[in-house]
Amino acid sequence: MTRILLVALAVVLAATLAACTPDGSTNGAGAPDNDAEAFKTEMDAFARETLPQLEAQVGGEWTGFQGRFFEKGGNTGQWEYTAEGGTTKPPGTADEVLDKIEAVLIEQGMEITRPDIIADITGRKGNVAVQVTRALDDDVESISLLRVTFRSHDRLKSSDDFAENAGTTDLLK
Amino acid sequence: MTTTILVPAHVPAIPEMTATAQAASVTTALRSTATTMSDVSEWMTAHGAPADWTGDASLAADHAMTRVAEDTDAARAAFTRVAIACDKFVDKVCALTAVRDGLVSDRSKRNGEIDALTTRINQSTADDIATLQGEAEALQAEVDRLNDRIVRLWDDVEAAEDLLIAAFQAVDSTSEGQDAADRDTTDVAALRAELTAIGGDPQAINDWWTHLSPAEREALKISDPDLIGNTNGIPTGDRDDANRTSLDRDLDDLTAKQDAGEGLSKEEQRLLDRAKAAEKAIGIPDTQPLVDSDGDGVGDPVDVNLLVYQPGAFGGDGAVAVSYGDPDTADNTAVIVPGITNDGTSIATQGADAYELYKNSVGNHESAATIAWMGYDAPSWNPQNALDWPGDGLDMGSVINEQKAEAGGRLLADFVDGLRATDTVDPDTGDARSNLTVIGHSYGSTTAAHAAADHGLDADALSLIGSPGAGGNDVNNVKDLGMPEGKVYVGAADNDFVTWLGTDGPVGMGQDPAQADFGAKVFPVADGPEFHADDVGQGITNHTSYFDPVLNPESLSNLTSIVQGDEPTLTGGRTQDANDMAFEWAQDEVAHQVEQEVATTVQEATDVYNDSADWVGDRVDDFTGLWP
Repeated sequence: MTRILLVALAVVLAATLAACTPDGSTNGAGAPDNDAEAFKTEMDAFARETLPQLEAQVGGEWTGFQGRFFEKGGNTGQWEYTAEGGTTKPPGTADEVLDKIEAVLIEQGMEITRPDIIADITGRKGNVAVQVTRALDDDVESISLLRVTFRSHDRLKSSDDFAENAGTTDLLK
Repeated sequence: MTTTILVPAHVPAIPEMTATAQAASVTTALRSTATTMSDVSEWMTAHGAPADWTGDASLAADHAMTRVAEDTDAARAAFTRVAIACDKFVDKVCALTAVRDGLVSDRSKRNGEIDALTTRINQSTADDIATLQGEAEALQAEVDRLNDRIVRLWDDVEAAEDLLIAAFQAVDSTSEGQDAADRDTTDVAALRAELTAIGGDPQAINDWWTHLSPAEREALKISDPDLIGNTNGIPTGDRDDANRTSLDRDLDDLTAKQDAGEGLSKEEQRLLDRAKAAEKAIGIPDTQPLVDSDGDGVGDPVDVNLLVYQPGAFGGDGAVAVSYGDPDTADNTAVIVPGITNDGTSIATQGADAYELYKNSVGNHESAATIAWMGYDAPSWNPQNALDWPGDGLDMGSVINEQKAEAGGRLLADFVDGLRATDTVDPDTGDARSNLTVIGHSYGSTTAAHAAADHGLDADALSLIGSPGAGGNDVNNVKDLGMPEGKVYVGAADNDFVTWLGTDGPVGMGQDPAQADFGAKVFPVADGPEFHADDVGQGITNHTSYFDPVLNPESLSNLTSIVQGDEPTLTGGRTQDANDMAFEWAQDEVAHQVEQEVATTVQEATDVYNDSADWVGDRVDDFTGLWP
């Protein structure tokens, strides 16, 4: 019985993953095919509204934030949209900098977890997640470099080519 | 009475250098062009006029081809010369950039001292004059020395640029190129034969390579980039040079063909897809700043190396490996082995996971290299037999056996041996060995386990995540993997259905390494939400989240600790048999589906009853309206 079950599981796994490849015709979770496009629109708008506030409140020169899709796990049909950037040596103590960022994220309607397991701050609003991380573990007093990542909280399950062909979007412009 | 103390003037800002390490991309382009010239020259030399040509036409064709071969060889020699010069220039630029960074730091320090001295002078009394006078003179001497060093920097920059210009000018005519070719005595065919004769011993290959002259190494990278780029034991920088040459060649050739309106064959399109995937993986760090260790206000560049590039390998699946950081010099190195559904097209996905691990691993100030290694034939689509289902086309059928993991295990062990052979001595610590961790995910964990149990994987630690089994009937517990004691780690999400497959015998892929009695160190990970058969996508998410900082930060944090050589948080291993977990899920699923079916049937019956009642009610109303 166990053997039959294992074979069945393995075949289900193989067939499911095959069906979830970009060339497949289903999207695995019953989500609409255009959810990648819809999420990109939502997150781009959120990031474009939030980034100027972070720049104004925290100061320093902000770079990066090229939004792009990555297929998670390899040919699974599950995508993550992410844009990462940051700033070097933001003025003020580490706590002051993180306080300012938290305030901006709360202003944007995000629920905050601080500290989180691997990030200093995680904010979430709907499917948009923002993670704020000090790049060096011992940046306790001040921060040498701060990484800020906007990403989809849940995977985007898309069977169309939109995510694959979306390219990059400069969210600082 | 007024006393004047001369305070040094501020040291002016040191301009950015116009040349950066990005100039290496020019070297890649030059080398790629030289490779094309080399290929043309070799072909022309090896081929004469067609066999069925005779007489004067045949002779004329032979002569013409010989002339073209000589001309292209002259061009090849010229490009080789300038590629070597560019390589040296880039090395010099990197060294001078480090010098400039030091000067920028010293300038900031001295200007701060000048400001502090000025403040103290403004607040001083007559008693302080002698002391302050002495300090001002000493500071002036320091500032003078700093200004001299800045002048020397720009002299060195100019000298490096002059050398590069001279190298270009030395071969900027056909006759000079021909002269370079005549004086080029490197016998690449003999060198190729020597390399082949050494066989597969990475240490011997490394010894041989390091004894070649720079010109011989450059010649081989140009004539045989596919060989040099994918041979274990060749140093990382040279493999990267060679593989980027091949990548450049493929992208240039195929996009030029597309741009010219020529259609690509299916094979060419597959090749282009894999080349673009490799290019995307290489470019991941470009837009994501890192630690600003030199204090210049800009995140440090990441040394990305293309360690394997064989887009046509494994029947078209392709083999690619990208390293974020240089494993030859890194304090900590991780090799990530992906599993099912992966091939050359998914290297950017694997690269994104590897780069996530890299960013976290360098947070402790130690250098790191994290490698996405798609260097074996994982069960996936075989594009050459895409319609042959369920035969070779869907080679995921092979996921239920271990053949590809066994073959991949040997390739993985060889690759790691290559990393060990090219590891260089750390000038700070004198330590030649990087702390090297192999992380096998999914079917890749079975592959990594085979590398350990069957081929003496030379890693310091082994981490198995989302594992369907620790490979082979001979592996009954952690000791059978042959890794250093206490250095096998396992992460398994309870709702990752792949981890329910571990079992011995002809069906399974070995023992579940997360079992407590297997004896590995099990670290906690996020289990992920439970899922039903009609949402297997959630199960896949649970299986592919071990590097995800949002969905599974516990796992990423623990993997980071392991890569840094530290102990992760540990939890007890499983006490429930993996297959029992699968069985339990199946039982619950049956109950769930029956409940769903009953609920659906009841709802349908209710809907029918309500519709019928409505219809009857309507008819009654109709008749009631007609009745007097």
